[in-house]
Parts: sequence; structure tokens; C-alpha cells
Amino acid sequence: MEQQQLQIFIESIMEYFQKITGVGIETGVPYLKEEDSSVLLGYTGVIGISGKMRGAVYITAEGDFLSELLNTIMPGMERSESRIAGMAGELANTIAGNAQKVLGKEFLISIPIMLTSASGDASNKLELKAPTFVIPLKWKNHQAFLVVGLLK
Amino acid sequence: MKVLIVDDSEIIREAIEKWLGDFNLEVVGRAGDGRKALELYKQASPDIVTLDITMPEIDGLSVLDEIMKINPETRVIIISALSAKEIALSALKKGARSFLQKPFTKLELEDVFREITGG
Repeated sequence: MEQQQLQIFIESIMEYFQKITGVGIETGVPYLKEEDSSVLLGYTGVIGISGKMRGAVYITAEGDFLSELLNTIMPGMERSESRIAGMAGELANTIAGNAQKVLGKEFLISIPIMLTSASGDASNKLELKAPTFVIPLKWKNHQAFLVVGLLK
Repeated sequence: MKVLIVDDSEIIREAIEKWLGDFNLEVVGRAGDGRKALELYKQASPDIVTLDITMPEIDGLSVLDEIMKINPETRVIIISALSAKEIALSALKKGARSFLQKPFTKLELEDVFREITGG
């Protein structure tokens, strides 16, 4: 994956937060994930990619991050476990889907898969075969990661 | 007017329903996949359908094809994160009245509904 393509996902998540919450998200310097390391927080929304590229895009965050995001979008909405996990899935879906604008209609996205720290060893389910880039994120006081592993 | 809300995200289904509260609409169903959407569509004959594309069972564009076969007068609004121009054009060619890209705000949703309902 080229650096320019990584930039598409960074721009996509920055636009999302600016538009939906009015508070920008800070993105840190992307780094290459080491093969046997795992980047997983409490809730993870995963989108499988097929078509002209193969791999996955995922967003992983703690519950307080997703809960605050949910509350910003829908104040007063009950914040159940399933809704918090659903927020991770919807966020990943939107970021990956928006990348199609640049990557084209052959960049195909799956429906979101939601993993939680209660889903067992989630890291086994996220063994990506492509070089995987990690983009640290900070929104308000919350930390999260956008992870992109794609092969052409 | 009767509305059917179709999206695999519970959050989006609830946001659409809540944000449309000021319109004189009756939400006759909510579906999280394409198969359920078609079942509810046949049962409730809604005037308006908000329809996601990437969904389990049957994707939104196939659901749109079926709806157009049953009643081409149905006002279908595609609400999707997919952003390739070709997908929006394909949906409009198939008979969708509007395409709203995610993420969307309450104001954007209201604008689309005003246009669709003439209200």
C-alpha cells in the first residue's frame, strides 16, 4: 500500500469527526505494525476489503471514546454494550466506504464485524497478511487507533 | 406518508427515525438486512424507503431493483458510506430518488426529506 492511499483513510476519519462532532480528531504519525504485536482496545469495528485490494481496515477504541461519540450523535440514547460495539462498526464502515471516492468502485467493503475484549482472543481474528499501518488517534481525551492492512 | 428504514446499523436506524420526528411521517418498519427489508416492504407498502447498500443477506441495490419492480413510484433514498460516483449514479438510474452519503447530519437528512416529500 502506498503512503498516498493511507492518507485517504486519515482524511476520511478527520472529515468524519469534524463534520459529525464539530471537534477535530488528532492523528499521530503512522507506523508499521510488527507482525506479532496486537493493536486492540476494548471495542473494534472491522471491515474486510476485497476487489482491487485485499485486507482489512479497522478502528479500535475503548468504550468511553465510543460512548461519548454516540452521545454526541444521539444525545440521550441508551448506551448499551451492543450500541457501543455498533458505533465502532459504523465508524469503520463509514471510513472505509468513504475511501471509495478515491480508490474507486472496485474497492469493495464488507459489512462490519464487531469484536470486543469479551469476544475471546480477538487478535487471532485480526491476523492480516498485508503490511499493516497503525494510525494513532486522539479525540477529546480519548485514544483510539485506525489500522489499515491492504494488498494490491 | 409511510416510511421504511433500512440499515444494518441500529444507531443509524434510530438516528433517522429520531431526526425525522418533525415530519408528518409514520415509520412502518425498520430492517437491518435486505431480506427483512423486502418482507416489510411487501407487508407495509411504504411511500418512502431509506435504504443502505452494504447489508447482510441481500444488498441494498438488489433490494432497490425488487422495490422498483413492485412499485416504481416508491421514493427510495439511498443512505450509504460508499462514495464512488458510479454507485450513486447506478442507484439513481435504477430508480432511487436521492443519494445521501454517510456521515450525514440531521440538517442534510431533513433537506433530502423536504425535497422528497415536497414539504
